[in-house]
Amino acid sequence: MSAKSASLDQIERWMQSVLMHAGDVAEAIASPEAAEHIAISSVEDLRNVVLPSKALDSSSRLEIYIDAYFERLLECLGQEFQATRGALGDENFNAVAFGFLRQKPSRSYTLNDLGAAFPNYLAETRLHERAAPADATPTWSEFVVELAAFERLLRDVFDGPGSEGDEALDSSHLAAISGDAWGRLRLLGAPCLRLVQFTHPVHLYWQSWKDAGAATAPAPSRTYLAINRRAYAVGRHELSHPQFVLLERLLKGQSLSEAIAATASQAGALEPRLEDCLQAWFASWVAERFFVGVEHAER
Amino acid sequence: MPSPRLGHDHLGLGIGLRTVHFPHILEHWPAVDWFEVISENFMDSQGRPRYVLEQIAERYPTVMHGVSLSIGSTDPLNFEYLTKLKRLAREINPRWVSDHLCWTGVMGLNAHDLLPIPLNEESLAHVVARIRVVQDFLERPLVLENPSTYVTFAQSTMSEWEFLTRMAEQADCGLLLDVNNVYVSSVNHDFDPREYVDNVPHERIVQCHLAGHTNCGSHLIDTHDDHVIDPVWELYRRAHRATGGVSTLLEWDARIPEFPVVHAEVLKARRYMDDLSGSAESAAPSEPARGVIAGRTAGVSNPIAYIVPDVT
Repeated sequence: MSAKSASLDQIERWMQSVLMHAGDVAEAIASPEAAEHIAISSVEDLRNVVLPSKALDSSSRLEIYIDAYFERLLECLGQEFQATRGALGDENFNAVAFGFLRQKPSRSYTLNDLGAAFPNYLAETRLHERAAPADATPTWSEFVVELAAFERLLRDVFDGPGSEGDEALDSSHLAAISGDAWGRLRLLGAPCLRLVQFTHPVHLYWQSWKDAGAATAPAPSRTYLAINRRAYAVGRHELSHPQFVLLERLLKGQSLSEAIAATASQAGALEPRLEDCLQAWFASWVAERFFVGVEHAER
Repeated sequence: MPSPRLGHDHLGLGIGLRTVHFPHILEHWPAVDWFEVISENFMDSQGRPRYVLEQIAERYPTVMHGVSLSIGSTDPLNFEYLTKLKRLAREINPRWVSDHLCWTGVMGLNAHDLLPIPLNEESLAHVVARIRVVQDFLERPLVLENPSTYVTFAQSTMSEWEFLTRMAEQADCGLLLDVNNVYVSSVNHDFDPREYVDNVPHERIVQCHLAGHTNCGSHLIDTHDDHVIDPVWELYRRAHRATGGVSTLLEWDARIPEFPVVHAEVLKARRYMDDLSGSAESAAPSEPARGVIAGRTAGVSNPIAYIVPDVT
């Protein structure tokens, strides 16, 4: 069809195909994705759609939008994944993020969703492995994936549902519960509480990077974390394996006695004994607002 | 003939709410006339940004300004988005809801840019029809802003001011006149910005925007990262005179300075309201001899404020 008589729909589809194309203007307008909507045989014919100005030809004017498209979104991803960008270096991060934007362009009205699929993209493509430093540990690639997942999780907890509007569950609530009712108790987790396990202490790397602007990739070490929000501030809490198991069971809706039994079974022999730890654990978790209420399970 | 400002109040001199200023605002509750908030940054927020907004909305008049309505797109309107927009409006009670005359994506994608449409009869009918649907859904008039643009289309058959005039009258909507965008586009597209300001329907202008931009030599980019330059202030004076005064807001989205600096910048507008000495027939404003920044280091066009999680 003639470019000069292109409809609004054709112009928009063509322009979007051009600006989301990774190449220069000549490559972009020649791409099948763009030519499907408006066929332009050369950069000189671009003026049949985009007019030149006194100072710039049509190609240079279109380039302003092409440059801005990737620059804006790379900046957003770089801001969301600051420590991941630090681990990869700016150039490597931008190269990987560029590939991500090409493969998974935004389908959301909000930039807050832009990075949601980025950790999985790293895990699936492993494109970041090219950026591994010479002295990288054998698990460096996995560390980077986990770091990106950790950063995304921080965003989700930061701006997702929280418990700030709810009445706080404090230790006096728990103290008022009679002894025989304890075992049947179900604790309701805060909507912002996330339990996550990593094979690297990504939270320590993230904190070092945040504090000092630099950090060393850690050696592998099984890491259990609770990420929560209290008074609109996001907290990271390192857990022991038994603590992680117990909280996980509780958040799945098990009663206290069921969860403790499962923890004792999974965690094996503990020193000090599990029952001797529980009071301190729950006092700490209640103070951190891990729970928003209690229910009594049926006998 | 519609009422001046489409019946909306003149809110005075406001500032675009940005997260870097949250601590200052919450501590000092500065004497700002009003705040404009980016709708998309708050419509899904259930954390601190939303909490802060609710406190601010209790104390100051607010206006919701969107970047994703995509009124010019040929994709179907996104009613999930509109539902959230309407809910946010119900909850924070803004004086009005605005967005841009642009499209942000088609085929289900979003470029997160304020992209230009060809200005012709087909696009006018398309945009007018969509504005009517949106206004019916939101149950309030929409206010649309002229964006900064960097291309013009061979398929355009009318000027932007003619398009805006016909659009506003046919759809019965309001206009947000961004005088910096007028200036940026006038340089990029070789027209006289005074003609633009003189010919938009002044009684439909609900609000003005002011901002800084970047001079790349061959073109200007709307970077919102600097002070407002004198030629833009002169256009503002002209718009103020023509409209009789409308709510005015400063946007600063990159290299954002401390709050008092931003506030002082918008307060400069008073000079252009009180001092009517500037002649309506003055020479066309031209870019002052300020630093020219080349090509790709110039900054991003149409910056869209993005909330960075504040996790310490």
